[in-house]
Amino acid sequence: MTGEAGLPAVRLEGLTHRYGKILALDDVSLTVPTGTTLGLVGADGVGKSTLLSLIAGVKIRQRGRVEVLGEDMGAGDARSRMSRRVAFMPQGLGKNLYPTLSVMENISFHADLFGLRGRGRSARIRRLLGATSLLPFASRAAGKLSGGMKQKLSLCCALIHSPELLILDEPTTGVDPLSRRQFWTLVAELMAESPGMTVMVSTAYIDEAENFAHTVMMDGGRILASALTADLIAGTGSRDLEEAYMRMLPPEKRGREGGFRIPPYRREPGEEPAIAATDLTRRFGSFTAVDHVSFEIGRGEIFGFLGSNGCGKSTTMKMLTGLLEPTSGEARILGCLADAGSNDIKLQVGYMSQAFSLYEELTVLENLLLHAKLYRIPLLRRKEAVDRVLDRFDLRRVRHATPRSLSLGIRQRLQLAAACLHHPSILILDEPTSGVDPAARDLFWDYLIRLSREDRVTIFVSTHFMNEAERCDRISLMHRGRVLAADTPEGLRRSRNAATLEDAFISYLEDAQGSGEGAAVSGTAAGAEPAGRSSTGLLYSLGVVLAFALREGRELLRDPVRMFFVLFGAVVFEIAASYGISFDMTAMPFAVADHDQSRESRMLIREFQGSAYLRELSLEGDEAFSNVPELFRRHHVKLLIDIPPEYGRRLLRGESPEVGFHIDGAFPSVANNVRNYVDGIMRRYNASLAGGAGVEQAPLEVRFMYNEIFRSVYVIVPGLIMLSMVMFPAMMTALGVVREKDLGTISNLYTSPATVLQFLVGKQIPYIILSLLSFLIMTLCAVLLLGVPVRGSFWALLGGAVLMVAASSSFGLLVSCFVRTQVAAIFGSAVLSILPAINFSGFLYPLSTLEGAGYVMGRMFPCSWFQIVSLGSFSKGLGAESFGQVYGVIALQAAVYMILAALLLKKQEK
Amino acid sequence: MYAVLSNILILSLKEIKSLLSDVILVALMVYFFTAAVVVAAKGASQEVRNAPVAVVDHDRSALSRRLMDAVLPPHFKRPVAVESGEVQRHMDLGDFYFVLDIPPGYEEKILKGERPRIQLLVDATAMTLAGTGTGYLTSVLGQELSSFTSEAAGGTPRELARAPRAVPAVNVLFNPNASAVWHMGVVQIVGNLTLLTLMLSGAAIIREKERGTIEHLLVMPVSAGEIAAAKIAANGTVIVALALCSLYVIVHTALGVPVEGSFGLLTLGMFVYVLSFASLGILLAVMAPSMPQFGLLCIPVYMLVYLLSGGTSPAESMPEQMQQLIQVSPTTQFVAFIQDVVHRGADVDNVGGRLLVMLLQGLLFLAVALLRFKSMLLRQG
Repeated sequence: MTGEAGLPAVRLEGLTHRYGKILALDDVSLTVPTGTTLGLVGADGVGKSTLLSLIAGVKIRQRGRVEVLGEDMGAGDARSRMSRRVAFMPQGLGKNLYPTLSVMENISFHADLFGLRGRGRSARIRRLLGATSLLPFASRAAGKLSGGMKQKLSLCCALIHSPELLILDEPTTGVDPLSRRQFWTLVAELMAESPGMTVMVSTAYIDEAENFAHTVMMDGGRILASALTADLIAGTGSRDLEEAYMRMLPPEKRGREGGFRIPPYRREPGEEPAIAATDLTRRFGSFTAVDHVSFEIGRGEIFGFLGSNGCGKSTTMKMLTGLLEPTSGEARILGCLADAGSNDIKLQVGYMSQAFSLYEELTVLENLLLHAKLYRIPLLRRKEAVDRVLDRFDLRRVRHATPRSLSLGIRQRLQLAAACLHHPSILILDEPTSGVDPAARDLFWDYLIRLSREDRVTIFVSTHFMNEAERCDRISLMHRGRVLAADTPEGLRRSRNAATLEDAFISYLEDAQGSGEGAAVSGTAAGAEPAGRSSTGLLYSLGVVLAFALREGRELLRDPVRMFFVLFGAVVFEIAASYGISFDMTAMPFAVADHDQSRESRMLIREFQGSAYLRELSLEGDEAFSNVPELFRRHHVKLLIDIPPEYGRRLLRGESPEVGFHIDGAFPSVANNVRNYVDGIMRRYNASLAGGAGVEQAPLEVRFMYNEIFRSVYVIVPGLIMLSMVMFPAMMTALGVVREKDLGTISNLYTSPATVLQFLVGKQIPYIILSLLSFLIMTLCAVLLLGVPVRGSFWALLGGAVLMVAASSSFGLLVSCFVRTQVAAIFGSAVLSILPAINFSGFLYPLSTLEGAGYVMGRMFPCSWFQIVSLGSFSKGLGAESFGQVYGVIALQAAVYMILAALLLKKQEK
Repeated sequence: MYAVLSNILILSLKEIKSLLSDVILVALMVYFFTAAVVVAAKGASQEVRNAPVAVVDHDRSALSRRLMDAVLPPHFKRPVAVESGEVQRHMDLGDFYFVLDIPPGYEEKILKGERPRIQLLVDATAMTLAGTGTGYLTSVLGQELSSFTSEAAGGTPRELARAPRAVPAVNVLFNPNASAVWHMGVVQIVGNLTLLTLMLSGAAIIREKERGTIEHLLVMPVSAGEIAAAKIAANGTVIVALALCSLYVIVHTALGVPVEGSFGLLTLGMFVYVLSFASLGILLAVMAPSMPQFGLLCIPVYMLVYLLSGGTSPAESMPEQMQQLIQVSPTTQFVAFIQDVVHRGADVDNVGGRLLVMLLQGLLFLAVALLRFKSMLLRQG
């Protein structure tokens, strides 16, 4: 922790950033002194996240200068040095965590990325997990943690390498008040331990920002104010930062000043409740998510749901909307069972899920129009309805943008707009205001209150904001699937004798949790001990590759379905295809029309009947051959023999009569074979007519090599193994990069000192191992079950398979770096490799007969080369000495794919 | 009913918009139905074409040279003379599929009226080539040899010319020159149609599931059946349009393959097939509900139904039980359908049965998929 005195931690100069037409940052300059804490506040979409990602170096800089800890972040090598001194925690709950990995595995992975080793490493991990009270949950999968715990784990991961600059982007959005309080206590304690550390935080909670030394307020991509927090409050003559913030904003953005006046709610006597739950219970396996929850919500009531993350709020709401069926108990909406799912009920309900669930690829306007149509708003009123919500939720500016490019807060507003669009009589809103700025939240609540009181719309809302909970008519406190208490906000506060609702809420939770979570930080000695760090060098590189490989491998192990598909699917494919694909000469069906009916014609027919390659079919009712093409359409014959009248007599007269042979040419190779059979049989027949004179002696003595009995299976099986080694590895790795981009975990690559190549190679290793396992099983199956022995060297075959699998998995990664969506990734990897693998590999059609582009394609992909190895080792009895050059070509192709992939994948986002 | 159709229409339009918004995906689709079809049709050949032949000539006589000269394109490449020690290595690496070994004193023995034999080594791992190629070589060399002997004897062998014989009048229908381009062009379109339909319909479901949008739809007055129908309709329309363009513009116009059957029947058949296979895609998506799992399940399914469809290798060569079993795959039905219609000029009477079978298969897949739809939603994360 050696912040050089006087040098600022961060210095920005003229920073400008655009997303298409939208200006996110407009000429921002800022200096952040070392060792301070800074809160970044502002409305949604004013550029807070953009600013933080640019400072962290995870986003490609467009214009302006970013200096961090004295170095220019524009330079690649500076960024890679800085990644060891800077930590960045991206927006979104546990965005940089791998859900199937345990808490310990997640944090170990980050430690590996930074090359931490030795005693210091395990001490640091224990220290961080202890401080966040995650130690008891070390073996729990990250995906099964509550939101608050996820954020704490994220923080641990960010802090693993003792950064000098810690950047947190809305770390507490969507986190319940108790967890939030614990989170900030933790941050404060860690800061106290490392005095030189600079911390920058963006937040939607203004009260949180008040605890930071500096405050920066942003609006419209510019900095409105940047000063010591205390000066800012004093300067505007405000009581607290929230007030100061409101005063700094332009009037139209200030939201509801002076609080809300909510007319009291009165329930009509005898009226049926809008929503009623009776002993609602939902279990997932042995886990009870919702445990005998009952409540009634009257028409026009605002009912709030509070509780820690993962307490069963969302599950309850899903049961109310009919998405989930209750295990027991029942939920009624307007008197009807919720899971019956009638459209009349659905039209009455507006729902907003916790995670963003609108279409990313459609624009804001298109999304809203889609809702309007599906909710059957008549054509004439559709535009008006959409216009109204565009204005009400301040979305007009971004109506032509896709949600992908919008900030969290604006996406939330869009979801709200979609839920309210069709004037439902019940609104079920799951954390609708998470990540939304205070002013927008006020506007939104203003709207909700009007809906409730004026239009008697029933509102069922969950929230983590206490000031929102206070506006509800009644609230229900949930914890671990059960309702702890339900009353008016005032009633709850009084029942705990608490000063505020938040205190009351926390006291309820602490009672329920006992002393399990939220333990205090214990012992600081371990924290001071620096973790051993193998700096650069080969050992570190290998360590990082191994870290990526282990992580990917663990994820694969946790997904047995995928392993099953690879191992079992390949074998099923091998067995079925080897049984079915055949070029063996089998008897082709033929039919005869004998218009002569003489001894001679019958003799001719007998020649054909006697052939092992032909079998006769009778064409009931069609013997006359009046319409030959129609015969082929109606019957599955390949050959029609038409013996003309007078055939026998003319032959006896010494003439040479014609015999008609009609061949179905639709499948050319079959037609060619049939034609060869006809030629051969006729030659023999004519020779016998001539009394054996001048019989053509076959001048050749034919020896079939490698496959003496000429059975397809000896050729097909090696080809099927080739196909599997091309397709499966490519398909597995094709999602590797694009999926991490979708899920957000790619940020771990951006923020770590690991290189793109280390990332790609590490990702590839588990799939190479799995594919080789599949290769071994397929080979075993070929030898034992299908009776196709490896006549040559097994080791030569294995060597080829290793190279082949490396090449195809590299190809998958190349596709993954190139495409933008997961659909395109799986489709692309299949489309691009299927043609060279099936058509141009020498599997179905010998390579040397290929021409033009097909030949080039065949040679450019590794499939045709590995086919030489596979066929050579299985059928031709060859060993490694025959494949030297072939190995070289496959290895070269693997290297080219990998290098291209590494060049395509940037270590920053756009 | 009106509401159902209107929902399907609205969702289909949305689906098409999403599909077309992925530029790389669209580019891949276009490549698949244009360049890939041309390359596949022209590249591979099931005929004996350009087969590489080597000759070990121990005789070095006029006859041996004459026999070598008789081996001609387009069936064969010009024979290459190799040393006998090299033969094994060349065949091991697949440089030559046929090697002729002409023994010493061959011409001399022929002229003496003996019947010496030329040894022909055939690489039997080149299945499509070995059998037919051997037949061609036998007849080419046989003819050359008999004209050599008759010339040597000073005329044509009289007995043979005088004998009465049956003259075969061979008439190859539907593809008179047995052109692989005709066959492969059409089969490649089937393969593309199959892969695209399978992956797009299934992946569209999984993408919506992983993004949570499908849950959102189900809260609205929209049913699972309508969502599935819209996916099939939207993806199907785009895919059928592409396939028809590919068939008429690329295969018919550019590659010169005649299309015998009617446009209407082909369109109908493609729609029925796409409906059927998209339903299978959705069923697979329901069974393998994450993108990595789905991709892996698609690969063996696609390769099996395609390779066993009777398009790439002749259906008649399969074992009898396999021929029966593979009828459950709509691809097998469709390959037979499209070959009947495009090459053989079949009409509805000829192929109506196949259309019906494909339709029933599709409806069965869809019914099973929809039954398991909700349980799939529960199984997430």
